[in-house]
Amino acid sequence: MRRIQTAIDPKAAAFRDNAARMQAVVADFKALQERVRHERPQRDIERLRRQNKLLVRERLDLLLDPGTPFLELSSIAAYDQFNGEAPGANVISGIGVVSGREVMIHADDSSNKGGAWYPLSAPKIVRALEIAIENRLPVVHLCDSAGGYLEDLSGVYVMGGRVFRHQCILSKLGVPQVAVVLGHCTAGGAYVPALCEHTIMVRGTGAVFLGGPPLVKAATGEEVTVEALGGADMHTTVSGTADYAVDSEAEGIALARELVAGFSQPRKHFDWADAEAPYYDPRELYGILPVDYKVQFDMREVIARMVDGSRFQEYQPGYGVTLICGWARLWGCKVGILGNNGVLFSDSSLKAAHFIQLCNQIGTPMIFLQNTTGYMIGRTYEERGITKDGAKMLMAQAGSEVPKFTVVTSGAFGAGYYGMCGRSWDPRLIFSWPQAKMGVMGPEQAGNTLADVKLRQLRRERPDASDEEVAELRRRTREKSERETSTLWFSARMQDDGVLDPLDTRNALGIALSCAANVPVAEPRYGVFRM
Amino acid sequence: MKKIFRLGETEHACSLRRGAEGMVLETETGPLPCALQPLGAARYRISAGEEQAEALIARHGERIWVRLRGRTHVIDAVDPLDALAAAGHHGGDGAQAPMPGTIVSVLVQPGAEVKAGQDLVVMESMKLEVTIRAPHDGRIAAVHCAPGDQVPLKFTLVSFEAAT
Repeated sequence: MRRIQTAIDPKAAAFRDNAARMQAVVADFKALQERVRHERPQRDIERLRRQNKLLVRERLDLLLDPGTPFLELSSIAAYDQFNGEAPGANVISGIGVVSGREVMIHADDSSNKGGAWYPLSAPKIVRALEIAIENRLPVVHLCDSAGGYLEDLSGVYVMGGRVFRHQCILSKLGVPQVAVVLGHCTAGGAYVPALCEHTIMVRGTGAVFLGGPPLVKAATGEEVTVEALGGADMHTTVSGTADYAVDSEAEGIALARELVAGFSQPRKHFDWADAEAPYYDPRELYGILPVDYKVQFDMREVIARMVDGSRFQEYQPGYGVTLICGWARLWGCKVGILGNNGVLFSDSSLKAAHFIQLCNQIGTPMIFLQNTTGYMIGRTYEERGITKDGAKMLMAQAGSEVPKFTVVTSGAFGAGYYGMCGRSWDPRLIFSWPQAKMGVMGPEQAGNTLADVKLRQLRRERPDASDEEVAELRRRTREKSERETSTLWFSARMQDDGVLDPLDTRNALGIALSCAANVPVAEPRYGVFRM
Repeated sequence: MKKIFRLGETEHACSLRRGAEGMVLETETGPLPCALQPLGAARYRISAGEEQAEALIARHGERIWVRLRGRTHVIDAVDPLDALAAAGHHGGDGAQAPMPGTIVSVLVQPGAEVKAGQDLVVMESMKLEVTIRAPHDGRIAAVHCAPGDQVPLKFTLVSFEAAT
């Protein structure tokens, strides 16, 4: 396979300026992520230390194989919501290596509000389990949650149930789960360990019950201690709800590692070869990616810094040129890549629909590199059937059975986001880059439209509104639309699986492909393509 | 198909096969028995026909450096597909608008010599700034647009002088 020939000059001043701007955006994101991961009230940290509990990141360190990558999902979930009381939605989820096996990890973070489940906590666990189901990944649950957040129980109730439903589905599929109970698992939370194949409880701090001692007293008048009601010894010698009682968190985690070591290793599907590093320096991505989504860049330059040996077999290089399609290897795995190089036209849409079918014919996973302002509009294009050609792209995707992965590299707007396998189109994983922008409309368009509507309202209610008031309203709506089209906003609301440094993307996709390879690809079956 | 190696300005097509006595290099001038014995630390003993020598060999991507008898030779492995595709390339005679839109800036003037891939015109359409680049090397004959112009699809923005 031939190597992509780069057209960029990393020594050029414009390139270096751009790299500096992009690195600043990435550094800002990393600083934010660091705060979400580690900034906690001192009071809570002291409380955990008093209880002889480890911080959740310390537990992860013990659980994971040293020196192996951990692909954390939705790391900044909820950071800007709930008054900052649920950083990361009080849950850590991600794919890691335990005793040589790829597993999904769900760990409650009790360093804030006792690890209570906020309205985004259950969706985060549900998403992790969904990924585990699709990729047949065993799950390790590190349970330590105060339970549903009492101020917003209605927001937790329905989605909470889906955690338990997904656990049952995993078991039905023959994918084992291990729970280590490191705190109280009360009410619904009690089902997490109960539904696992293997359950470990830590004496003293771990407890499992449908109703805790205060609730029991209120309901029946019975007075009972935590240990007697749902402690490790009771459940492992009397009720049989748990399997192993241990004396410390470290012992429990070591035992979980031993249990995972007993799980069978899945056979890997897809076409794998020896991996090769990209020929071009991936750090050059910083200089290639514009901070402003309106400035176009050649997606081939991005592909060249992500795939093995920078080699790419481009499909139909002369047709539908605003969409690049082709094959490459990523960490050795053969993949089909679809990347935007401009607006989607009829020809690029047809090319996409055809390429998706080609990838399905040979069982090759697909990677979508999004940089789209949508499908071309205008009379000429409607007459040529831009809408029905976009519909073909969607129909091909819905019929596709090979795993799909999506990276939002710069812009993701309008229906282009759907056509290029946005979150609503079931990519196995979807990541965004920190400077990217997304939304139904671009920030300028959304801001102006909203401002116009609000201005008409203002003038109706108060015809004497001053110029300053009008300017202030325009400024506020503009700020709002800028903020709400940032990928940080979308990621905080779990509309993707996380924001990534562009440099980490090759590794993240490598992990994703390795997990997806656990499952054989089914035969595609398509609906009706409007011709 | 034989492999192609570029040494200086010349391209050599050759292939390697297993012979009865060892490896044989098939060159343009006939077969040549050869061997390459690694000595460690990028050093090799090369033998080709009757000749023998020690050399330092390094490789990065398609480029190979051979330090032999006090001289360094740079060899590029050329994919035959690249060589064949380049031979048949004639290029277009202008740069066209890939979509209807507004011209933002024009970066070249008539008479300018440009290289393939050089930026010619920046236009805006569908929220995107698109840079139109030179499809091949050449001299600009005329520029047909100015900043602020609305141009239709496939409008020729810049035309090139005919190759001489």
